[in-house]
Amino acid sequence: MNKVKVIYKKYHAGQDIPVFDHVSKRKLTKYYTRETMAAAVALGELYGEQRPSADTPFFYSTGELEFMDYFREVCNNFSEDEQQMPFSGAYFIEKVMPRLSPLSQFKIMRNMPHCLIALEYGLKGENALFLDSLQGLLYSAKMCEYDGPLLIGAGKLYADGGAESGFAEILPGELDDLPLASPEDDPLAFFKRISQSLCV
Amino acid sequence: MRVVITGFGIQSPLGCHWDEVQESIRTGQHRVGPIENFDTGGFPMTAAGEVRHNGQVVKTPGQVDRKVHFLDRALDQLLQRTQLGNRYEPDELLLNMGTGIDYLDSEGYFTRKEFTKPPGETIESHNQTGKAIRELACKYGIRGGCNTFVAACAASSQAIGFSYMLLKKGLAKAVVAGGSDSMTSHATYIGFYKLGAMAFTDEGATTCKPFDRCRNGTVLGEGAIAMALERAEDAPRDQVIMEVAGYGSTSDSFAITDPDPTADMLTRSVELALKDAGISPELIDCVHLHGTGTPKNAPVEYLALKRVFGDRVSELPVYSMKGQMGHLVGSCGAMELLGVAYSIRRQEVPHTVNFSERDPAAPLFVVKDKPLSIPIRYVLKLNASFGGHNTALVLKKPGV
Repeated sequence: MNKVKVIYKKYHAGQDIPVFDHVSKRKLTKYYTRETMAAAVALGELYGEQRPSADTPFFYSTGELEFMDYFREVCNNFSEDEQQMPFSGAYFIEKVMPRLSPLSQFKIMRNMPHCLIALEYGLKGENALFLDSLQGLLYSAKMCEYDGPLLIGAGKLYADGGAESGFAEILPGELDDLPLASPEDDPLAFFKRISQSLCV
Repeated sequence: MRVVITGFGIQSPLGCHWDEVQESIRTGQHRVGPIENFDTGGFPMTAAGEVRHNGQVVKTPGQVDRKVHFLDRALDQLLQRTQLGNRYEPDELLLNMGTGIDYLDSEGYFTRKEFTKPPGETIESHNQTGKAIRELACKYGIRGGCNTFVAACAASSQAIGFSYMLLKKGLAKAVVAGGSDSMTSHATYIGFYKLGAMAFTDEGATTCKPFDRCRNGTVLGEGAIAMALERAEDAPRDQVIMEVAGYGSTSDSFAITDPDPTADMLTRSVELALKDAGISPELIDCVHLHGTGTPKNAPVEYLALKRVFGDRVSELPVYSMKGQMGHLVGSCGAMELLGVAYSIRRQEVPHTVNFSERDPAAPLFVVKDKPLSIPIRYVLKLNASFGGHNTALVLKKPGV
């Protein structure tokens, strides 16, 4: 039971997330949301100097999107006249599209935290990506036939910029030793609970 | 434990009923056209594969999240047809769906100036997809669990692979799996455009040409496909459409948008699926590829097949549905399994719409002009996504 390595991190809005202490592919951090930053820090602390095997299965649950600043940052720069214009396709193309950051599209793609973490750690194994699903994570781990530890994780970005992240490096058989979880449980609550009950 | 597919609920550019879809595939009717459901005035391109019923685009008001709307209809159709709700207890049924990003009703957002609201405050125009899918599970009495998959273009094939594994390992009795996505709205359509993956010509007209030498991008589509997966021992024999025989998933871990040009992990996903199915590559009769129509996709898929099938790749028929209806993104894997079902049921490999000239960099045996009749027992289905997720499924003719 004590072989399970678990970590849970929570960052409040505006709180510094020391991502540069934990990533080697720094150019890619421009694509990071604060959820990805929190995940990078959590995994950096979980693995330390170690590196997982490239074929490590990696299952991840991201949070329901609350972060709608995608358009807010555009619209806050509108002039009064622009705000009063009737909406149309042409309005969208002329007034909104040019102001959208090309990075925004990457940041709202739900698979980016998984992708960027996989890139950082070179993870190429079996994978699945869920939206708010502890059941999905636990079943994936239970069904995995990989002969070694696998990685499960979850993260969430809140509307105010707060972020949470939890990860566990685990053998499928060790799931039975973990505190019971209902399929409907929040995945981050699960990581928080087991991080409190197990030693990292 | 053997796993079979016993029914479909369909809302797609190729039609909203299985018979209609089969006829669309057989005839190769173009189902990509100028967007009808929202105002594209001023857009640099205006084509998409919108959901059609009897050939007509299904239109919805701007506040409706089309992927949720179509999933609702697909679930209703599937559950009526298969009577899963009468054959299983609510707690024995799971819903596993692939999908995409949340829907924002742009017109409502801008007209009501919702951008002036502080972060975190409820925005009427923002539709949370995960929440909506969980509500649909409740509506249709599916209480064994609800898992939403979000691995972009591999989301629905992950959902189906995961569901197959649950049934195979005896962890579930019946699963409704598939995908639902729609990016045919102002924000998502332009967002995808900005990623640089859309087909484009000087006239602005867009045509997805999978595998073709002149391919230059993809075209967006939309649709919802729900399918019933059951253990073969529990399934009504006369409803069995095909068997799911193997599944493999890998990650490229190469780049954010581009596939790994070595095709290492796409190849590995195929090897895993074949191993899981317990068959050798020689038994695969045709391959339904991801076939996006982007320049980088075809050579990678070719290389993966070359590595698995060797010289046989030049005579192994392949197909992509995206030329006909566009790229359904979060639901493409599920939609394209309808193409696999077509192959297994009719013993035909469909022709890839818009393919005309073989690419020397990807010299695949692409069926063109009309379907190719051959004996088909096993079909390999590949999908891959932005972000590097690869999936491979092996589907089998019932009774083989």
